[in-house]
Amino acid sequence: MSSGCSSLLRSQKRVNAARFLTRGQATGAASRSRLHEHIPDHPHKHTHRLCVGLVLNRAPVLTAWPTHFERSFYKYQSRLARALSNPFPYDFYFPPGSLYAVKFRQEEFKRDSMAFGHEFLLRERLQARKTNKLLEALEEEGSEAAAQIKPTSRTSEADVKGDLSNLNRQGDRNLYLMLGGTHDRAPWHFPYGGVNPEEKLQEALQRHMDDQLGIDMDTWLVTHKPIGVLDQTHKLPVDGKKDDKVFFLKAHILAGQVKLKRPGPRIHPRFAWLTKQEIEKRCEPEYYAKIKDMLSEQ
Amino acid sequence: MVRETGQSRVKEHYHTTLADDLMYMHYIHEATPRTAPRVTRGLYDAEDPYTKNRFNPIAGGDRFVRKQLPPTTVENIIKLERIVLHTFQKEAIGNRSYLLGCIAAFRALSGESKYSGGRHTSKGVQVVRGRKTVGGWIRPGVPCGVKIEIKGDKMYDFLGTFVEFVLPRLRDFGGFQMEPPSRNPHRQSAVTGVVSLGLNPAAMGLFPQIEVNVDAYHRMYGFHIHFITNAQGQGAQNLARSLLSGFQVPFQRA
Repeated sequence: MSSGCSSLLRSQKRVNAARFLTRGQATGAASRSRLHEHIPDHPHKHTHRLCVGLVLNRAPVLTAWPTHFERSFYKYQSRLARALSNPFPYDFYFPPGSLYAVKFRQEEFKRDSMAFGHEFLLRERLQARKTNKLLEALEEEGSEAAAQIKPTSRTSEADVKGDLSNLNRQGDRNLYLMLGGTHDRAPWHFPYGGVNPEEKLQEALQRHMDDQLGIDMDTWLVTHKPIGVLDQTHKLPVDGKKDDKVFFLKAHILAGQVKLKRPGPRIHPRFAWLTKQEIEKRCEPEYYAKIKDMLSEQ
Repeated sequence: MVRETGQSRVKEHYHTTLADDLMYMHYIHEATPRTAPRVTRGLYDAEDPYTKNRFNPIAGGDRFVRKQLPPTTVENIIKLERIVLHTFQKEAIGNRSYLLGCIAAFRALSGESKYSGGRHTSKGVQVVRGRKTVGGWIRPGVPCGVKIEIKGDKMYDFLGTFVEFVLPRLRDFGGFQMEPPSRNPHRQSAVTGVVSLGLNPAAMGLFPQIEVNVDAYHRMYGFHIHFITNAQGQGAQNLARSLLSGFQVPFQRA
């Protein structure tokens, strides 16, 4: 951020000048007039408009989909763990000869044959069949029970439809709330608004959230400290000014949904819950470069 | 050596959600770099011919408990390092066979055993012995308790089980009580980043690993869970509590 650096430099110059000044005063202040040109007359003359922005996050609700390498790794390690583990203490967990013991033993055979191959265990399996006739009956029963359990799909309806405003989309990713412009080409941005004098950042944020995003959601502010700053060098979308300085606060959505209060022609007619990569596609490159470090890759 | 055999849901929750939030929550802005601590005693130089093979005396005073937390960076975000389960059994002092039930229960709870998964560092269940003589009670070397250290994915699995199966079913439980704010913050336990919780015997029976064959054990045992984090310095225990709170362990103000 070039302007941020320059303001830092300016303040550093002031500090140096002030130090020099005290030394100058002690020695007779010969060079005071020369130093004065480094100190601005009104240090706060170039004021910016202070704004507060919101990075509203929906945390992942599913584990990440493992890559091909990860799947192979876990499969190999599971086999290794199975081969190296201590033998299962049947007598400790089941009364000897009980139905559950037989069922568990049978399931273990299945898992073992999955891990080490069918032929490897065939001999033991046949032997077990001879010793206990119950196994065959249980085998059929077990397969029926397994067929009944059907896990919910990882892909939600919103993913199929491509509904960007649905909170159920992309369950394994961090999603962030973005507001869209009036037309398709208009750039997307985080919600933001001005801060009144004597108002705290979090108070201003709450005011803007109620005003712009509606009161139908539960949110939790992670901290009162800003997690990032947008030092504007170009005009913000919608009603921004060139000198806006936006301090971003992070919050999580816990329940509810955004309900845009004023879907007028000028102010944020659209919103979307987007991943970092989707944000990159929809934002202006300058804007994205400044916000990207606040967003999670996963 | 066996590594991870699958994805750990709780561990992923830490990496995708908690780590970021904890860094932001615990960030303290420091405008200027920190001044180096005052050197009150020369550092021990092992290569110095004078100090070589001499005793290195331990620094005295309260310097350990006055140690500041390091500046918050991406590298030192608080994280869980290991969980230690520990139980002291008074009856075992008279008869060491009383420990057998605890050993079996801890093995079931942790899923760890000695050299499990081909790891030579996996210690399994360890017997705790008395360290000094306390008149009429304990002598050095007498087995009086049992402990086990859980690390890695198994640690996160244990934490998940604890939070989802045990805590919701505890009777009259509104959260673990924290110390009152009036307590001296400069004490050892407040700066080491360890949170210790105690469970009663009934709680052990609520772990699904134990619940399946609760009759196989002689009785249930109360035990301590020590959550050990990487945080060190003033206020480290509060950081550790906020980490556990992120895993949904409830805490209550005293």
